[in-house]
Amino acid sequence: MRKVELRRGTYVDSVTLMQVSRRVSVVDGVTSAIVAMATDLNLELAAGMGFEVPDASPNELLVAVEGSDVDAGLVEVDLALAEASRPAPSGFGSAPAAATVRSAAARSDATVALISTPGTYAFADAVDAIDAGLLTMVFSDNVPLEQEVALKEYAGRAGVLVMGPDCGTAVVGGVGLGFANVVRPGPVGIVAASGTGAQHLMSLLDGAGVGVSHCLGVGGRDLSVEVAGRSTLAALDLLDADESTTLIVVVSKPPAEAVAARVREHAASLSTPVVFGLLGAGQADLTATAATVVQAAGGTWTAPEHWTGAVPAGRPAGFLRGMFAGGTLCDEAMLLASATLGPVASNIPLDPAWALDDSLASDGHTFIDFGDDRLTRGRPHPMIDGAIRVDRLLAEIADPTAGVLLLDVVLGLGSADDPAAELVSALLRAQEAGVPVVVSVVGTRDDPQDLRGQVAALTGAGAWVFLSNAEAARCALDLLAGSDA
Amino acid sequence: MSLSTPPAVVTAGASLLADALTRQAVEVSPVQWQPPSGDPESLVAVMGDPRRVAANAEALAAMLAAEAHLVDVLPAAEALGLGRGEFLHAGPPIDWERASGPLRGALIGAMLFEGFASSPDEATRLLETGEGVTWEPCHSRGAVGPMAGVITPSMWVFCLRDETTGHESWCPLNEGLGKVLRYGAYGDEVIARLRWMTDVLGPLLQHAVRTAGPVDVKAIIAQMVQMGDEGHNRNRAGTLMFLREVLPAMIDSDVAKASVAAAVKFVSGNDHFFLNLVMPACKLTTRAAAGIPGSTVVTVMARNGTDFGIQTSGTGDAWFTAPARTPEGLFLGSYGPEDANPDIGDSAITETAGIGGLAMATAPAIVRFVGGSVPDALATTQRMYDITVGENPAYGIPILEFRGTPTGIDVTAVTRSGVLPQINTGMAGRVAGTGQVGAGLVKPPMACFTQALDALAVRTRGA
Amino acid sequence: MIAAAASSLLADLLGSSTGLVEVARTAVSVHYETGRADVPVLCVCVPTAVRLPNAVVTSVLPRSGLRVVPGGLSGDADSWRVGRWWQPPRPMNRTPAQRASLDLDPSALVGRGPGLTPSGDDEVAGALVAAHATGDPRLDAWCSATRDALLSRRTTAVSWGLLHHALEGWATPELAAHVDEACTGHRGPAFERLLTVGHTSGRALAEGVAHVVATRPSMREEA
Repeated sequence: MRKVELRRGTYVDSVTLMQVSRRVSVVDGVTSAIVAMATDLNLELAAGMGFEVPDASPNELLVAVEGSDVDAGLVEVDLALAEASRPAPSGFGSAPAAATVRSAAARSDATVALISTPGTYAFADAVDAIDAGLLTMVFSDNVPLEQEVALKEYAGRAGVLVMGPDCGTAVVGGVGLGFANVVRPGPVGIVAASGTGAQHLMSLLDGAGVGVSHCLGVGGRDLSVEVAGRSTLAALDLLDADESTTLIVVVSKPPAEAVAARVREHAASLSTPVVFGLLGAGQADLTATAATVVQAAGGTWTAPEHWTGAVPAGRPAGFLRGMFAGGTLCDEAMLLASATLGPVASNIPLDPAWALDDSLASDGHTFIDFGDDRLTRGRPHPMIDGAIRVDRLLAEIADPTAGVLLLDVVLGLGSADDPAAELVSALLRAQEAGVPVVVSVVGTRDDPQDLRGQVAALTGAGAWVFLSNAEAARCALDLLAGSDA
Repeated sequence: MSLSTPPAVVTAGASLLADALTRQAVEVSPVQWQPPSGDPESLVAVMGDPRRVAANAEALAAMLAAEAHLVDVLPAAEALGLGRGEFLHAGPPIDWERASGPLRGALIGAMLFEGFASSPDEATRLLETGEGVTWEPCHSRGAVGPMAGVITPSMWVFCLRDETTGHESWCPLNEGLGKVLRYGAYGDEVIARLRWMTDVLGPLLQHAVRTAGPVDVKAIIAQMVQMGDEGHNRNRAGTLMFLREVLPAMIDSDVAKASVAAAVKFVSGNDHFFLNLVMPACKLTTRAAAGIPGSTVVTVMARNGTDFGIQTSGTGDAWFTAPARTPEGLFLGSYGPEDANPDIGDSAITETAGIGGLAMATAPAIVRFVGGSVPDALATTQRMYDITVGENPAYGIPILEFRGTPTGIDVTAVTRSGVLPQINTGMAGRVAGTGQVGAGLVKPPMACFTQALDALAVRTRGA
Repeated sequence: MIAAAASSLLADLLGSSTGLVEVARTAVSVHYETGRADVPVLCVCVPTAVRLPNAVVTSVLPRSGLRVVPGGLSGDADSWRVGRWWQPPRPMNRTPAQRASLDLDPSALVGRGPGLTPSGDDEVAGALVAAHATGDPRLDAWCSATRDALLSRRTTAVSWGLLHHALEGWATPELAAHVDEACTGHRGPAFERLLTVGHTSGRALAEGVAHVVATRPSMREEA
């Protein structure tokens, strides 16, 4: 039995709705359920699950439940939604919850805004934050490029830094925003056009005992020709003026060359020294950048820890298969892999000719970034919920052409509570199948997931674990070379 | 902006991210976000307009600076230059075909009052054909009229003046409650009362105002807001304070004692008499903010019983209209919801200027009359701060620790938050000639605001 | 598990297992002796309290039986996890518009006066932070006199915590902002804010700063 309802006047954010959907789908007597805003994409998704989908507007809530006891499912929907939307207490005379960023800013002493509204609407919310003079982080993705440029121009006139859109990671005065690691205060300020790149760098610095003053994300497109580094330049100025910052690092995925040159030129004019960690073929990897920074900050660099075991038999003539949650980590590993293996197929290819088709079926050496925008529409980011990646891992283990598997696990604020646990059964299966799995773990000693515990769980399931993503990739390449031989 | 201040964070969107901050012992101010109404592209254009913030600040400053003195009382023909057969009415423009019962009733009464017709049937026929008669919105002449808001050349009007801008605004004298022209009644007693107001009340008030005036209406509003009047559905304190100002001069006139007594009884017995002074004062307030390029502040909200129309500062005198809603509230006698006409009147100018429903918290005495509770009233006003650009310190609300009334409704804040301005209003009977059937609460249709947003976007792109 | 934000000066302490002895309690803070030389006193406070350089900030104050466990604090009923680290302010390399050279004798001041932080201690703390910030040549002598006074345990535990970190130039945000403002030669909003700290503490801290940096009164004081 199937039941489909549309509800008006109910808005709940997509992450919460995914949690509601999952909660409903495990109710006894329910075989499948989707509770989501009725966007075209979600309607399509529901249709794909076999539901008859009515005409609806994206402002309506779609509730579709299938199973022998649909009513039990609907009761759970109501319960879960009621919990998700419990209103702020409003006693006699107390103000109702703020309806806009502007009013929330006016009512509080806030200094920072964290916007994660849907990309179509995030512009207006960010403008509110800029008008209020707040340091503005736009976590939302799918914000059109021309709006990003307009937003950054608007912020520039107001003298306010916009971090993002599509900025997943920032740390301001020790406070982690979005996906961030718990780091100790220190002299290094980071400007990052790359979320997981910044997380990796922070984690490596923290591991070497070097603290971080602030990590200002700028959004993955900031160093493109169109956006022209507007936020990168503003972030550099802000860190240069910040007393607690005595060394600045800029990390980015491969940038547009002209923009990178402009940023380097500006950096040279600052009174604070700037180290660049711009990924690219033949450029320093993140671990090498971290080493440079630690030494420049007067610290002592020792190679990040790793845990390896006996070399498994491996599969002859296998291919390298990378499955990443972090885009920059994927980029970094692909750069290293393509230097020895040649073409590496991917959904975020280094060379357009190496693009995977939409099925994402593996094709020779293959890397998939599960955190890519196109793969996170309508479902949680793999750092929050790794189910999609576990499915792929199992598929790769079953694929006789997969020789070595390479994964990342990103810990920190915002990430799943226990990501290693999601992977353990698949890792054990890989061990049985004799497929080596190399995992790079990004995290700090103070992260809520317990770095040591996560490493122990992964190595306990037979994985080789590296705290350096670049070293993990090199190890995977060595294993592959060994099995080829 | 500096990085050295310890972070406290406003969050909008995924609650997961706010929770992650709470786990770091960070102070979080979450936004109860919902998707905006209207075209997202228009919203981006208007929010991104670099003139917007300064233009709205200018609009607010102009509203706060506007003054309102009652300087004269005189016939509309003189005050507004209304010629023979020229009528004004409430709300956006409308033809006879689409006109609601109460507006039709009031226009019929106007024909009878002006002597253009000797019977309602004859009046109706002339109005249908448009023979020798035209009507246009009060707002197009800078005037305002409650409910049907019909003003004819012979009616006497209050004339208020804003010395800051030199603007003037006008509003007819209030007829009292029950069967009255503004609620669409046109029986003999209605016309007789209008004649008495023209012959006795108007000239007497003119004498008083010319002798003792000008009367500072804004100062009276400031006091009444602290005395339980919100200036739309409750004007009791305001009416008595106004009477206090003009009473000595009324008595000290050549008019017969009996006529003075009748006039005083009429004014003091009508708790809404002062509404017709609050309205033009509010019109002067919002008019001061009109015509500022880039400003998204609403300068007019008005209804004609069929359509609700708004104007904004940045779009001049263009109307953005949508079907008016029917108020919800309490009914007089045996009347019920089926008897109520959709929302009507220029009196929403009070909300446009930041009082009326927006100042509901100050008038707990009427919350049950309009079908609400005291906590609702407090929450309503506090909610209105979310959709206004500022506060009017001249009108302090005691129970909110004398916080100024929420002032300057922002089109973008309305479409984004889904929060519509709260309007307190009377309800007219659906059928022409019925009169008042109740009072209650109503909100404008969102479509007025999304259309205004689109028009603002067009102007922004052209700027 | 209750969320807490810890001063980075407590990083080593909060990585250890250490017993704590409660020595003072107010409505907004609790102070503990640690028995350690690097951080002799630990303060647990709510966000509205004055943020001492040795503070762990949290919304719920511990009741009893608190001890340090790696990564946080553990009490009889509740436990606290450090969710983030913050850096207390330490003004440095400041050049005052006008220096002052009033005499200061820490050995006579430490422990003198009423309150959780006797005003003599506040005065010394203000002077130490200002001297550290401006490179005042008297700093070393003042530090050694203060250390001697602290060794003899002449003052309260709360003051001990304050002075211990003031020796290195660490300050509360209000004091640091006042030092910055005072270096302009004027008193203004930061001075006014400092005066709101404690009953007498703010004024005593400002008096300490005045030993090192001279300022002219703000317009409001003149009025």
